[in-house]
Amino acid sequence: MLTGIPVIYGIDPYTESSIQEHNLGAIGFSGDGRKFRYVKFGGTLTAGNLLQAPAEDTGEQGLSVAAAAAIGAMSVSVTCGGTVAANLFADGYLVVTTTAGNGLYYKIKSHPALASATAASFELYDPLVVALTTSSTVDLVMNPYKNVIQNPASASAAPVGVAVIAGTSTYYGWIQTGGPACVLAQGALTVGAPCVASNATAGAIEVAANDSTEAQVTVGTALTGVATTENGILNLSL
Amino acid sequence: MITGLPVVYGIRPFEEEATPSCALGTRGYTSDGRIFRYARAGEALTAGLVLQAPGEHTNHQNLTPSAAVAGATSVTLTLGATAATENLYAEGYLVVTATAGNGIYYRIKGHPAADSSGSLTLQLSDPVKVAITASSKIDLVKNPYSKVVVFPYTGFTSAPIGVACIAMTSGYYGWIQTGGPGMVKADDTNITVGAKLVTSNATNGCVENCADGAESALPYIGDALTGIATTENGMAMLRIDN
Repeated sequence: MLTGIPVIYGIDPYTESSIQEHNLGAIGFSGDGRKFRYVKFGGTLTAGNLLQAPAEDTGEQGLSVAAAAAIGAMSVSVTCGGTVAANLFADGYLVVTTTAGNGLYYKIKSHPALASATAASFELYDPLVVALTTSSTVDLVMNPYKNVIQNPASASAAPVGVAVIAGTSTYYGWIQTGGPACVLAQGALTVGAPCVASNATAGAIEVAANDSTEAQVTVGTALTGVATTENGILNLSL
Repeated sequence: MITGLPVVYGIRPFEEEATPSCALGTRGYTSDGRIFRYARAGEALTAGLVLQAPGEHTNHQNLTPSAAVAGATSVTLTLGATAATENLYAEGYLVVTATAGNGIYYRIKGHPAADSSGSLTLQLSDPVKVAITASSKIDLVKNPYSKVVVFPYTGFTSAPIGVACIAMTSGYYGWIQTGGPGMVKADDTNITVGAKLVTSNATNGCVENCADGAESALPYIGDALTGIATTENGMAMLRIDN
C-alpha cells in the first residue's frame, strides 16, 4: 500500500481490487481532472448510484472516558456501548464531544474487539493535544471511506461520492467526488439545475426545486437534461 | 517559509507557530486526504468553531484609480474614509469591478500605510493584463486566510473559510480544516445525521441543520456524518473547500 502523498494522478477509476492499494480517502485524479476518493465497498454497488459513508453507530456515541489521559498520550481508554469487531473504527476518529478536550478529534490507529459497558483502549496516530478527564465524552466514527454503501432515502451518514463501476462487496476502488459524473436521477433533471440527494429513491439524486429539496444535501449541477429514472451527466461537487 | 508548490502533504494540523512556515492559503493534506488551509488567527480561536475570513472594509471598495497601462506592476488609487495600515492587503487582491479592465483581479505584493481618503500605491505580484483607466472601479480585498476570526451568527462581514482544529493563539499561524471528515459544534438545536449543515443563525461559530428555505440562504458548511447533541461537538463531512 502507498502510504505517502494522498493524491494520485492518472488513476484508472474502472478497476477494483480485493487488496487495499492506497490509504482510504486518498484523492485521485483522472487525466482530465475528474476527482475521486479511494474507498472500501460496504456492499455490492451499482454504477451511477450516489454513495454514503457507513451508517453511524449511535451505540458508540456519548461514551465515557474510562481513565483520564494526559496531554501527549497516544491511547485513550473508553467505556464502549456494544459489541464491535476489532479495528472496525481503525482509521476512523475518536471525537471529543464535551469537556474536557472537546472540539478536537483524533485518528484511531487500532483497537481490540469491543464489548458492552466494557473499557477498551484506542491507539491513536497523534498524541492528545488537550488532556481528557473522566468527564469527557467521546463519539467513535468510522472512516467515511470504509464500507461505503448506497445512499439510503433516509440518511444514516453523509454522501461521499458516486459509484463509477459495479463494485464487489468488501473490495477496494475509486468513487467519484468531483467533475463530470454519471448519476441516477429519481425524477427528470433540468439542464443547469442544482441537484441534491434524493429522499425518495436510494442511490439517486433529484432537482433542488423548492424550500424542502433545497434543504437536502447538495450533490452537483446537471450538465444535461436527464430523464426520470435514467442516468445522466452531473457536474459533481462532493 | 516555503514559497514553491502551495500544497503540503502529511501535515500535522494540531500545531501552531508564531512565525509562518507556509504561504497563507497553502493547502495541506493529512495522509488520509483531509484538507486544510494555512491561516493566521485574528483572535483567540476555539477548536471546532467555524471561522470567517477577515471583515471587509466597505470604505476600501468602489475606489477610483489613476490610469495604469497593461504591464504596469503597481496601481495608485484614492481610499475612502478609512485609513490603511502598511501591508493590510499584502497577499490579498486588487479587484477591478467596473470598466475598464473589469473582471480581472490581481494579487497584491505590498503597499505602504495610507491615511483616510489618502492616495495609496499598491505593488502587484503580476503585471496589469488590461489597462486600467480613471473610470475603472477597484475593490481591495484582504487575503481570506489572514487574521481569520470566529464566524459571527449575524452581521457577517465575509465568508466562512474553515474550522479551527485546535485552540489557536491570536496572531499565530496554523492549519484550519476545510474538507473531509472534521469537527463542528452544534448550536441550540440537535443536528440530524445526514443533514445539510449551514452556519448557525443563533450562536457564533456553530452550525445547524438546513431545515427550511430561510436556512438554505445561510452559508453551507458540509453534511452531518453523525447526529450531534445540542451545544456539543461532533463529526461532519466538511465541504468548504474540497
